[in-house]
Amino acid sequence: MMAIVEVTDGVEVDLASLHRAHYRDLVTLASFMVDDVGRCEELVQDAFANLAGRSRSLRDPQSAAAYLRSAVLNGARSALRRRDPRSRLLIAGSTGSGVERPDEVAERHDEEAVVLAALRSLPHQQQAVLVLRYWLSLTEAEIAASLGIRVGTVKTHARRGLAALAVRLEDPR
Amino acid sequence: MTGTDPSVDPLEQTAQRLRGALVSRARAVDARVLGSDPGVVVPIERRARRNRALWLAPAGAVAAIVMLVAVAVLVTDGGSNPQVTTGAGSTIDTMGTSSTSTPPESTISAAPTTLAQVPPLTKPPKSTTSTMPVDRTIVGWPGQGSTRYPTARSAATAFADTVLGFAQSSFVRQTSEDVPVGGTAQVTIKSRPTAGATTTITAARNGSRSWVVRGATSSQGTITRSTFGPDRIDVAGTASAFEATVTIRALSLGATKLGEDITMAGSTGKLPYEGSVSYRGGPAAFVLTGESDASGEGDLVWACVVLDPALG
Repeated sequence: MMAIVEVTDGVEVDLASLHRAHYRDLVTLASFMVDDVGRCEELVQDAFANLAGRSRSLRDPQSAAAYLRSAVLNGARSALRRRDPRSRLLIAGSTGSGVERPDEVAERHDEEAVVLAALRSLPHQQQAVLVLRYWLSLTEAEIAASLGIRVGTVKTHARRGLAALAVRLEDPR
Repeated sequence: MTGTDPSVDPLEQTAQRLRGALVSRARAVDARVLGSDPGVVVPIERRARRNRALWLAPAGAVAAIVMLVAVAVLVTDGGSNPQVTTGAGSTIDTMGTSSTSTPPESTISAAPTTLAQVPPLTKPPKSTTSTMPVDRTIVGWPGQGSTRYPTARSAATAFADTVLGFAQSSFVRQTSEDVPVGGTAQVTIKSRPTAGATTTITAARNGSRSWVVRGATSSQGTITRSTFGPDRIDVAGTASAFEATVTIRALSLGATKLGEDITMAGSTGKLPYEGSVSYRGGPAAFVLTGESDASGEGDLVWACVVLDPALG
């Protein structure tokens, strides 16, 4: 099976390599906004399928990762807007490593749920900027490329998003 | 885990909590993900092929319709104007029934089947109706070369989120998006689902899948006059805002804030206002009046936006 997509004439991107390098991070990225992990995997597969189908529109093969991140974030946003029921299920504990005590696991999941709920209450662009910055540790320029916005807008979203998150965490109402 | 250390910046504490939650969530998700098995690429390629097939079917249908329309036009024109000049005095019966030529003998006067293929080459080009709208250059946010918004709603929502700073923008309604290139649609949005004020954003169709924002009106205010100068914009209208304070803002086409000021209007009902905003770093493309929310970050709860008429 050919797992190579041609980005521009003579420039090729190995889909399998991209998949190996980014699949888990992309699913995790989607999971910060959409609870159902299966749905997140579908969103990521859609993003890869779109990349394979429209690869010629990418002028720079280095932008494939940014394209994928953008496609996943937009897909998550669309899923939430369509009120896809699988997208809003609450986080169900999940797989503890077994080394933590149950009360530690519960506390960690409580904190995770509270912070993620606050994060999800922010406008989509602010969520996306915060996640790309604090999870993937992308630079402002990389975030701007991923979201198709200007660096100045990234800074604004980061500042406002973090401030709004602080307010929401202080007063979760 | 949520304890606070007064010596640490509150925003840094928030960032640390966010990092912790993201790491925790990532750890949980990582164990449940299918993984990077190369075999997973196969269904992705299958999905890509299916997507292409989904695109090809309507594209084929459109092509077939275009062909049928073209044939119908040719047949209709052939009936009403059966003879066309081929040059050198030759004429061709487009219906394929006869062919005549003035001396010397024309080589075209051969079999009717051959003649029937000639007219499209000899007739002047006809105007055709394209089913695929082409991009125009309609001035509006976000400007050329920026993100393309495929629907009026996506353009309006992005404008509300990123330019107006609506905290939790909530879609209310929109007029039909089924307009030709150059047409407009109105998308009404609230800054929060519970907000009373609405802002109706006008988006223009710039291409088949490209919309730009050209202005906005609000239930809480109007802009009745705006004068764009090289470094100052004068504006007037009516508005009702908290503590009667209306923000005036000059924006570039990419929505960079170039200048800001405030003026007074009504607080319990709409009252007239007048004001001006000086700016630099221009040129300004938009003037905006609106009510700021309590965050102090410049976010708005409603806004009226006018594009400089000189920009077209």
